[in-house]
Amino acid sequence: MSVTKYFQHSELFSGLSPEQVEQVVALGREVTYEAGDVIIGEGDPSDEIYIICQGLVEVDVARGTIPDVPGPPQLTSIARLGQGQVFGEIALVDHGARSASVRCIQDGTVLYVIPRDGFWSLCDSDHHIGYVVMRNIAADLAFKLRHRNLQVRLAGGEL
Amino acid sequence: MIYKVSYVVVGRPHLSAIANLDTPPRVGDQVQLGDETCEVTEVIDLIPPREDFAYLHVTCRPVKDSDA
Repeated sequence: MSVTKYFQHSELFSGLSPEQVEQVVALGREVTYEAGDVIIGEGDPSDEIYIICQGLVEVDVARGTIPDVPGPPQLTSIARLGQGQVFGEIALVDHGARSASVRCIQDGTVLYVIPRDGFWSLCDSDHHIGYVVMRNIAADLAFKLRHRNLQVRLAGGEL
Repeated sequence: MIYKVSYVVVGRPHLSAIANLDTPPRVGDQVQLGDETCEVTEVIDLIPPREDFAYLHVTCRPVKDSDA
């Protein structure tokens, strides 16, 4: 499946024409990861958004990290994301540091990586694309919040 | 229609996942969440469909080796 076809199956670009999706595709590049690869690290500077074309990633947050204590942080998985999902969108919106780490957990996971600056420039120059994409990012963040609420509700005291 | 699915595994919150599917999940389906196999026990509409997307919540339980 072409990248454009993947994008047409991603909620992020729902409501855009194929020509508009092509404009977004032109901004980025495809990258393949293997299981165990760290894609982004919590606290790192952020300048890209990621779309999962195929495969699976795990989102982890460091739990109870004390900055002065050496050693690796204890990571807690908060979600796994599969085909069609987006990550890196929080920092895209607020320009802050990465709020979580993301690690590949399936060999051959294919991501499409879009630089933030180019993405913002496109949204600024074409307000329809900008409106649709930002509406879809808001909907995706709302879905993730609902997912997290259900996760807490069904956690059985494990969170 | 594309089905955007929120998977939560009862008692195993760290196995939760979100993925897009071409066909809707059904009760009794087995799904692979990373290296864990889980069985779908409930499927509900999370929010109303919008454009080409339906939004579902799926509750699962881990499948023990003796279940498979």
